[in-house]
Amino acid sequence: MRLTFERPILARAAVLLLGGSLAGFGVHWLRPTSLSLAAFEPPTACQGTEEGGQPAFIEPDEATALCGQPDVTFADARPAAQYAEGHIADALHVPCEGAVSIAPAVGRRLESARLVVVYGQTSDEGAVTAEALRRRHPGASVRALRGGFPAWEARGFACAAGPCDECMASGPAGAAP
Amino acid sequence: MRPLAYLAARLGLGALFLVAGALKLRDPYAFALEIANYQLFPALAPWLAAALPATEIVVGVALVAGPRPWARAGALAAALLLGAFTVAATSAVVRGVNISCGCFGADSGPVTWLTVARDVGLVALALWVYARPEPLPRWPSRRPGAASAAR
Repeated sequence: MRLTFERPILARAAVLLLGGSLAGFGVHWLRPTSLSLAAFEPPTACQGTEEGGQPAFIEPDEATALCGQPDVTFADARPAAQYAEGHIADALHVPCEGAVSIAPAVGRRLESARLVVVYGQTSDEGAVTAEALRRRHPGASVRALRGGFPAWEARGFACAAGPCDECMASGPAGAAP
Repeated sequence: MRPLAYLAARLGLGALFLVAGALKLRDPYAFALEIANYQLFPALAPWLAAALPATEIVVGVALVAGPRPWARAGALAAALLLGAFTVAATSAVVRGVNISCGCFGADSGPVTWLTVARDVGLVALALWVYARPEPLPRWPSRRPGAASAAR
């Protein structure tokens, strides 16, 4: 096989690469996505929040007043088994790893919400996922539930059980190990 | 036989680029994260995530449907892109960075030496398509007498 690089073919290849890149930026400009070219921040993914990146907390009593409002979404950051055992009614299952790659239906609900309340088994677990979600959806208002699910449960607020059918990316979250 | 092999390589490579580009286009943020995870040029990750999927689709269209000069240019562009992917994958494996390859968008499986070998094979295939501009196989004409006239 002998490779010769002819100028017209090189020029066409350059047109394809440059034209494709420009088309990509055009599509990005036209299509609303959560990717910001200028302010992209990779999440510190599930290993703790950076100083200054700590999301605001919300108290369980304040959160329960928001429960059931159509523009407020609750997100459960705990493992699937704990979610299936019991979670805040209508909460989505969004573990921290899932905050990076989200099922489209969940992404739409999170993006359309006025407020997302994230909770884990502890305040910190919720805060880490809240931070990942805040970076994933820069426009969304995300707060972490202080005290996590135990604090909610201890007050006897509304709970539900079972897997999250809406949270399917490749399978139901409740079926994950 | 050779024109058929050329056609299969050209269409296969083009289809691969079309599928890869379309899958990456679905979630640019997740793709930007995959690029940032390579830890090569993290600041460029969102720009590459915006530009690469459409570029792959354009290259795929040139390979699948372009006239011969454009298909050759598409093969050359594909070889350049795949060469860059090979360098990035090799760098990740050598540094022991355990990441998803991002070759077909999010959740494409980890980067391993197998990924590198696959990319090297695809670079060779793209260069073969570029270097062997075989004419496409002709379908037999339906016009009466055309077959005998062609002989």
